[in-house]
Amino acid sequence: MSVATTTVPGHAGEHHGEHHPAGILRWLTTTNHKDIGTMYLTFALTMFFVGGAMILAVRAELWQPGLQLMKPEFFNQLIGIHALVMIFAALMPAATGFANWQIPLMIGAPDMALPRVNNWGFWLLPPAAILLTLPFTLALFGIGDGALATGWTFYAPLSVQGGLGVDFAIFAVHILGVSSILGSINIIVTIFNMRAPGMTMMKLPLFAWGWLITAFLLIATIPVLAGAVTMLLTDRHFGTHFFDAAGGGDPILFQHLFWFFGHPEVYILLLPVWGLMPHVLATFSRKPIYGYKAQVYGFIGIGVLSVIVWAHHFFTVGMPVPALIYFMFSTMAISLPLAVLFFCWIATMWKGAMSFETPMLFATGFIVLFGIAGLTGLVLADVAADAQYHHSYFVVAHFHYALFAGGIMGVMTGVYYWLPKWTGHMYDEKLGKWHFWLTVVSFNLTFIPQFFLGLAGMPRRIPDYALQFTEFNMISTVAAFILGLSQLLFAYNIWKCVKGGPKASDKVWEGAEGLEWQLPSPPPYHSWETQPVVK
Amino acid sequence: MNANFTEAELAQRRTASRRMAWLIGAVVLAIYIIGFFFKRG
Repeated sequence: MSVATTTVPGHAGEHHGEHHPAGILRWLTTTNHKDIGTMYLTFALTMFFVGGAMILAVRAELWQPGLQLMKPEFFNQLIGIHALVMIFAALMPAATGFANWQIPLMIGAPDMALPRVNNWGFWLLPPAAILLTLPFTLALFGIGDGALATGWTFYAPLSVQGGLGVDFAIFAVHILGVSSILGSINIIVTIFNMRAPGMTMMKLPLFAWGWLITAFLLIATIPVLAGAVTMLLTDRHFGTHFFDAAGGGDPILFQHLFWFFGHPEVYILLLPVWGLMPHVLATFSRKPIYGYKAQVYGFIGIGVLSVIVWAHHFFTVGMPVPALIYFMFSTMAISLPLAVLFFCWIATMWKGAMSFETPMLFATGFIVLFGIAGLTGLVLADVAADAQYHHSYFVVAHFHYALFAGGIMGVMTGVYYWLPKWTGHMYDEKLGKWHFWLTVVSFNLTFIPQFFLGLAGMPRRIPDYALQFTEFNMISTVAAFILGLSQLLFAYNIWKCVKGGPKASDKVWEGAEGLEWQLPSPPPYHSWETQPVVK
Repeated sequence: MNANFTEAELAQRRTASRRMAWLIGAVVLAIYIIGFFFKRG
């Protein structure tokens, strides 16, 4: 892709908000995609530590058998809110932060297409996060019985009978859903309408392609989740019986509705990362991206398949055999486009002049560890094997390889890759490498034991366990604390980079290609006042 | 196509974006509402 830049007559200096307010008012009222991206990323990092603290309390309780630190009810609340916070308030906002910062820069747009909607999308998040966690505080004052204690899945009939925390979580999920929908609409219309002249869809950066498929998945599935939790709300307070068997309802219906959203949600969390990876791998291999079109079709294939496989999450509920076989094979079919992506990522590196700066370390670590998530996912997709593994720690280990190694390590890859562009300063490479190695080693020491625990039959979501599981739980707990504490290095490195450091060049990385590297580091407040033309 | 955006074209693209946004919003609302009218077989 070659790029020419041409000044748009009369455009510079006329953009709305040129004299933007300072201080808190800037952040409350901003419609600038970079400001909003920064707010999303800051919010995500904050909530990452909130969700992490919750699960460290859980791991502390699991240090040894018996009940040490907390009541089982509080344990249940912590695991449920940990998941909701990590998914909806950490990983999704981080990906949306990337989209806000990068998509206009990468496609040559002056800003997102709907800047005010963009502001609303962000400012819905903090109240939703408060709603999720407020019941913990209210319980301290004797109001209610704590937060959502059903796990993040809200399964009926437990959620129909649950306390005040369920209502707070239902309300929070509605608000988070509206925020996601607003963000998705903005991303879709920006990509369709705001691309620089000459940037056809098949010249669109893969990061934007990954987000485009993500946005369509959100549009298709969030309303279903919203519908399911609304029905739950009416079951709880308005006398309906959608999920209440005693009233003619069907609790399994809730599982179908939830996972129609829940399984695509996994790809919603991962597709932006899969879109980012080829850029990083190509940059540090000093080679063009291998198989651009194959990856685009891979994203589309995964997107389509992701909405037709949901029932593999509850094989053990008792389904007709043809349904079991359909969901097993359709789930396994996802491994085909995913294997295409893996092949393209490895082929991009093949015979490249590779160097291993922190983003590349995280990217290669991502490929290996996310591969383990894929392979253990195939095991769980097998109906016969799943009967043994269902609701065990094997599942917990599997989805943390998917969502931590695949999702959060992917976000860390992006942060280290783009931070010099955003701040104009280089981060501390030595600290970055320490962060990577501590994260990878402690992550594996946390979750490999959980595979063994699951295979041996330890159930998930239980605060107590049989004596023979003690050693693996102790290893997992110690490693989880190292994993959690090593993330402080990440936060410190970001803070240090924002405050100062060696000046980053415009291109930052020698092998980087794409429009965003044509802009200064940091980019001007209004991106692309000089219009790029893609040839 | 190598022409640059003019202010008028930018405004036209933003208008097209708003129309598309309302359309997608309507689809979202339809998915949300239609679900309530399904009956068990």
